[in-house]
Amino acid sequence: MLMKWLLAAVLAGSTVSVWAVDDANKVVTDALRKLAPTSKIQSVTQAAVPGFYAVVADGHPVFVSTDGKYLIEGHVYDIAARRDLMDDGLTGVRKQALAKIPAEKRLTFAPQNPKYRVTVFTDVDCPYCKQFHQQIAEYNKFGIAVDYVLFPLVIHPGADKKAVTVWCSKDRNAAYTEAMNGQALASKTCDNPVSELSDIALAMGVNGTPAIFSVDGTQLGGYLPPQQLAQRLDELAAPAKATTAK
Amino acid sequence: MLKKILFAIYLLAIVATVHAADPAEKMVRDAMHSLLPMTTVDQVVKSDLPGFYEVVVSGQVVYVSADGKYLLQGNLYNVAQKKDLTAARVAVMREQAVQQLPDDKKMIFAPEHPKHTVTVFTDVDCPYCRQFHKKIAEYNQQGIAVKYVLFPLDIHPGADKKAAAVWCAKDRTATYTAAMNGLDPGNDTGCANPVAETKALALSIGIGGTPTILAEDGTQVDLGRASTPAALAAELDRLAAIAAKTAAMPIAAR
Repeated sequence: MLMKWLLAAVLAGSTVSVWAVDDANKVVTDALRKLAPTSKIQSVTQAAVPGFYAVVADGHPVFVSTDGKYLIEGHVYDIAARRDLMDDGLTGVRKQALAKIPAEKRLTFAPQNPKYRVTVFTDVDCPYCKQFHQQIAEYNKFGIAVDYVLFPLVIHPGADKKAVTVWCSKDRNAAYTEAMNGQALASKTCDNPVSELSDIALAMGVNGTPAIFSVDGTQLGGYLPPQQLAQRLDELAAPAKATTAK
Repeated sequence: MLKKILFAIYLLAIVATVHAADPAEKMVRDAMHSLLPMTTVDQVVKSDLPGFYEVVVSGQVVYVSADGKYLLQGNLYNVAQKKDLTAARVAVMREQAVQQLPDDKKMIFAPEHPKHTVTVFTDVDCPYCRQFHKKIAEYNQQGIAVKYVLFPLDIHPGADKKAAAVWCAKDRTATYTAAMNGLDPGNDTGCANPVAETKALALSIGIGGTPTILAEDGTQVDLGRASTPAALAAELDRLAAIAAKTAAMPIAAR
């Protein structure tokens, strides 16, 4: 008897939580339909702040109150932890998006036995991307494997053609390095994933380059020098240790 | 008599204590202090957002949870009304501040019967401010009165001296116009001038750049919607219509 009751309770419980998810989606969909009718919702999760859903729409994180009455755009800080919780929803979306970019659509520069792996969205015409790549050997020396994803920015006219040229070169990595060293490459075209990759970047809320992400979707920075990037990755790998050290 | 006064003071003290002892408000103030120990919190009031207090600090509106755990910085929207509550609150704060600054501390370029009045925070060395002022006659023709408030930016070294020189010139508006056309306003900065005051005012209401155009109700005009005098006139019509609609609503629905 008791077993039966427990089972019923468990079933009821699971039904309730399924309903709660439906409810969350409905509340958020209705709220966004009102404020931003053309937006596409990518994720709805329970926020770390009680009374709110963490939402990502069009690569943009917002909080929506669970009653659907209020929407917050900006930052939501956990005061004690000194941390912006707004990025949490985005991190999940970013992790999934990164997982969707296969290795063959990236330009990989890796050391022998990498300790860490980062994805770097890069634009051939972006000065800090150049600075980053000019130090690629050092990043590798720190055990960091770098997977570049081409993301020519619209603010750099012609950068898309250069990205395509890099992609269509026989030796992509060599062409990329040449381009980042300021060499002009003879324009090439072929079937390429550049626009597809740009769409993924925008859906992840990447709006500048370089943008560096860890495998779990955490944004580590815009440009970071090799040692600092290694440090960030160390901290991320051992967050508890880093906190006690402070 | 003395007893009565003492009693009144005693009552006041109780009221004051009760007020300061609102535990949530204290939590909020403590939280802000832990984040920004050097900054004065101007105001703490209950927010429309349940469980949160609205805090005005350095001309910015932020929200802190009543338990002091979370801080929201950004824009809070009322979904049903499609209204940016934060921007509305900032607009009210700015409108009051601009109202309190007397006209004799502004430089006014107005047509005979203005339809709209804008306050423009301006810096002699800011290219967009110059571009704006070159069309001042057209703005006036569109029925827009422009009240300039001098706000020399720190990123423009020497701009504060130019602002003071404009102010101290015999013909202030003519000198301003000349300066906006690239002429040197001179070195006569010795007169009593409000530049330091107007600059402090701008910063205290969260204005960080120039030109910043405020509509009559304190709403910041999106510069993208004010690229020409006609566009600004249309935008001010639009904002006035929104303001009128809000004013007509019963208070409870706002």
